[in-house]
Amino acid sequence: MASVTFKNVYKKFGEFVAVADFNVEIRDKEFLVLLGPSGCGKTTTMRMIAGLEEATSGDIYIGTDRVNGLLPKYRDVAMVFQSYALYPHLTVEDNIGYPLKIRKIPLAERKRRIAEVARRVELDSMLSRLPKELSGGQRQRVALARAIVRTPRVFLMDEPLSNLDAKLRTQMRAELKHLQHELQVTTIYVTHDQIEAMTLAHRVAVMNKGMIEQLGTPREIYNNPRTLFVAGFIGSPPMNLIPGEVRDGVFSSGGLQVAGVGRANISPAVLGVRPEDAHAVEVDEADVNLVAPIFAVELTGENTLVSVRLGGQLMTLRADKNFAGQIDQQIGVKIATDRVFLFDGETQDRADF
Amino acid sequence: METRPRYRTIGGILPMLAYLAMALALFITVFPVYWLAQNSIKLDIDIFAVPPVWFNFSPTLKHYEAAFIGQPFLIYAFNSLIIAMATTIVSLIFGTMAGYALARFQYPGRWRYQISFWMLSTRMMPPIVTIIPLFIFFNFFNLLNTKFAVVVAYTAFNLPFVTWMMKSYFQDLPPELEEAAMVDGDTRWGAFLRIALPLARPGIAATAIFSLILSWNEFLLALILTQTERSMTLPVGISGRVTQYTTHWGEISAAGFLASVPIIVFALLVQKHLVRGLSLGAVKG
Amino acid sequence: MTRTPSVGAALERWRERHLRILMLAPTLLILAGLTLFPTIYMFTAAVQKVSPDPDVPREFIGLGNFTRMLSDPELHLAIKNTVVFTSVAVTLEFLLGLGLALLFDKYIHRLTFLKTVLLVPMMIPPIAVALTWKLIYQPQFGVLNELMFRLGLPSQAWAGDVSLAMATIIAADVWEWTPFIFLLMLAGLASLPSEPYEAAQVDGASAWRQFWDLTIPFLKPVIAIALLLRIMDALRLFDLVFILTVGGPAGATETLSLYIFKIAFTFVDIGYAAAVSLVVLFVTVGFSTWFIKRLRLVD
Repeated sequence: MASVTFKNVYKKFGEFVAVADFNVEIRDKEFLVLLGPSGCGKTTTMRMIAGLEEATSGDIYIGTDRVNGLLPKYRDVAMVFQSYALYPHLTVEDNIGYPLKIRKIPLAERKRRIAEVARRVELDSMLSRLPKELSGGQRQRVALARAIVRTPRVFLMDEPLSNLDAKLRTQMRAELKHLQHELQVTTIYVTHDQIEAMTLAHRVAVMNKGMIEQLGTPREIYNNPRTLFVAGFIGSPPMNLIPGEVRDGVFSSGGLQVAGVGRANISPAVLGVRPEDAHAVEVDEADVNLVAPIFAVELTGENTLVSVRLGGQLMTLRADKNFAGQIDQQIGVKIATDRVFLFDGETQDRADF
Repeated sequence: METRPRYRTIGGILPMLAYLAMALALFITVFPVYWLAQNSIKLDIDIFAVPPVWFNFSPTLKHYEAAFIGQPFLIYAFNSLIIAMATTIVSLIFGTMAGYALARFQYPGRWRYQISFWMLSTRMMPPIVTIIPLFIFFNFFNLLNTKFAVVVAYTAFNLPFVTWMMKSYFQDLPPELEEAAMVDGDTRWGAFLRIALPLARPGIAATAIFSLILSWNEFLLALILTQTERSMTLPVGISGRVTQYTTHWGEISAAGFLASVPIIVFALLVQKHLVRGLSLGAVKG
Repeated sequence: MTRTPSVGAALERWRERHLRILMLAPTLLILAGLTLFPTIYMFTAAVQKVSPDPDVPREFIGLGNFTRMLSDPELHLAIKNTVVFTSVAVTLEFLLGLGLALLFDKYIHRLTFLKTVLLVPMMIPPIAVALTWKLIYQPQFGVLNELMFRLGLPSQAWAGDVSLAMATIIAADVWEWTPFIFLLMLAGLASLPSEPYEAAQVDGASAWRQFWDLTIPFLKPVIAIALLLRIMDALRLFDLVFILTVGGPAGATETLSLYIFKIAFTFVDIGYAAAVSLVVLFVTVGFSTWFIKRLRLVD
């Protein structure tokens, strides 16, 4: 059991800066998710903890040990790979037992621990099979079993669920969360899927271009995005980000007017409105923020997504599932003014505090 | 479709042409080898007969007996075998490691590229241009007419091939397997031995067989490095008999045919890897 | 986790740190021995007159061995022969190999047996190939003259005839190596994606247009590597001529490899042999380097 600390860590591949000035302390027993688009440096960060990549500069600590330059085998971490990386020439039993065999654990002890772990992930009847004889979900569980067979100090998981189908993914997500709670091992989890990040993490680090944009609990990240990038990345469907300007406390863009957004004058500015905070209303209702023609109506089941034209872009609102508007019909849009986010168009940071 | 009738006539002729071409290609390919084999079991009188005796001859094994008991072809074959095996073992040990290194590791600057490039160029170089210095070198150390010298020369000429082949096989393996092994507690070297090597076994076997074939078939280097009856390889021994004034056609046909048989067997074993081997890993057949 | 420094651990650390060099080093050293040492030796020998008698001291003659090449008719003939052989043989092998591959790929579906048989000419020892063709070309009792007789044509000396000798060598080489082109092209054709062809058919492209606009561009990398390997192998031709003609008659089939072999081991003129070798080395390696770079064969 250990914390993981990054101090001013840089990682460069030639000229390309993959991770820049990375500072974070991952607490003991914490479930931290590194979330970001592909190429943002999240996997590189994880590989530096494992020792598969060396930091170009800065220090990495596991517990109190500085691990820079230490071979992966001495770091006492376990990793689940996106592709699972099961050894194709070994049986399930030998795959799970490999970390123990390398550590020269006696055979009897090894057998006992493999059996125990296999039971836990419901693989006890598959032990003599080869990876190619397993389904995707079973392979995923073998990879998991191989990681938990020796309680390591840190679990590293690199998009472990991304190769599963949607239904299995939801199920495994719950199992992973339960497992981490039960084992109480510090876990670092890399994903580009914001739902996974929101559901699993104690804290989420949203990464972009090698840097942490925001670190906080899922609730903080969702309710209080610090930058334009985080605002646009978190939430499904994504937040509407409307470029415009603020004059005397009124945000305007095309036909849209939103009063009381805070600071007096910002230009350029970007207004962030989540689809659930914008409502379709009658055109002649009082205090509508925008009147615009409907561009498309999409029924998702539990509600309807309505997009309307706003200048050159579209704005999405979440309406009731019984919404009956037609394409090109004019509707009014009413925005929950107390729940919008205002960003400075230059710095891309929040401007409404 | 208005073009249909035109296609139909062509479509009728081309398949027939294809089968005809295939029959012809098969015949042209097989006949010379068949003729060699036939000559090895014909009596001299039938070999020299004009017009040739096609089928009606009494087969004999006396040329095989003469070549392998009366003449030292057995020694040549034994030399070839030892040299081919030693070359294959040595070049596989070194070439597998080098291939792995080039497939997996990063080197500063453009070193990885330069080294790969240099190896490929070495494969392209005509052996005759380096044979003179090698000859002088082995002569200086009194190593001419030894299997050792031939194995050293063959290993040097085989290494670029083995390295390139193994590089291509290792590049087909996902690198996460060795990374997983390292996180699980192994070293990089351990992951190479315990994970990468077992998984590359089919590639290693194919490369080994290619190396055996190349060494067994090689002629020019062996011609220059082995000149005594005791040290000659099979191709050198055969060539010496062909260019003599009286050619014992039966005996050399027997030796030539027997030299080809193991190669045909080996070639069948690597059939799946053949295209990759022939193209230095560039075309994955 | 405790880490006690021990000799074993230090060694392991050192090995892991330097593994990328350690695993490459033996191969690099051997290849350096194969390329650097001979090149340096040849540079020194090429500017000297080296006597066959080891007791006669070497004599520095500057570029003498190189200027001698300009006025050496036998060398010029060997160069001409090598170029003629390489261009004709490789062209024939390429056209035949590609043609057969296209035909078979389209119309014959069970090719396994054929592929197996076609392995034989290029895999068996080149010496056995040469021997086989020597038997066939044999003027008195050879099969080829029997065929000529049946066709009512005069019999020929084949490899012993100045005007036919090169053709006999080329024919044997085409027999040996056309399967190489054929198998590579077949592998290339088998890996072609089917969607572009379906799209072309929908767009109304003729079979001929599809061949030029799709098949040839898709096959280009395979064609290039096949040609590179064949050209480099043809340039070094030795075994076939050594057995079939020994370069004769009257030098009609003497290739560069054979001529260098003769200078070095028949005339024992090491200085001149080194000079010719150097020129051949630079031309061939220069050509292959240019070709490999263009192909981007090395990643």
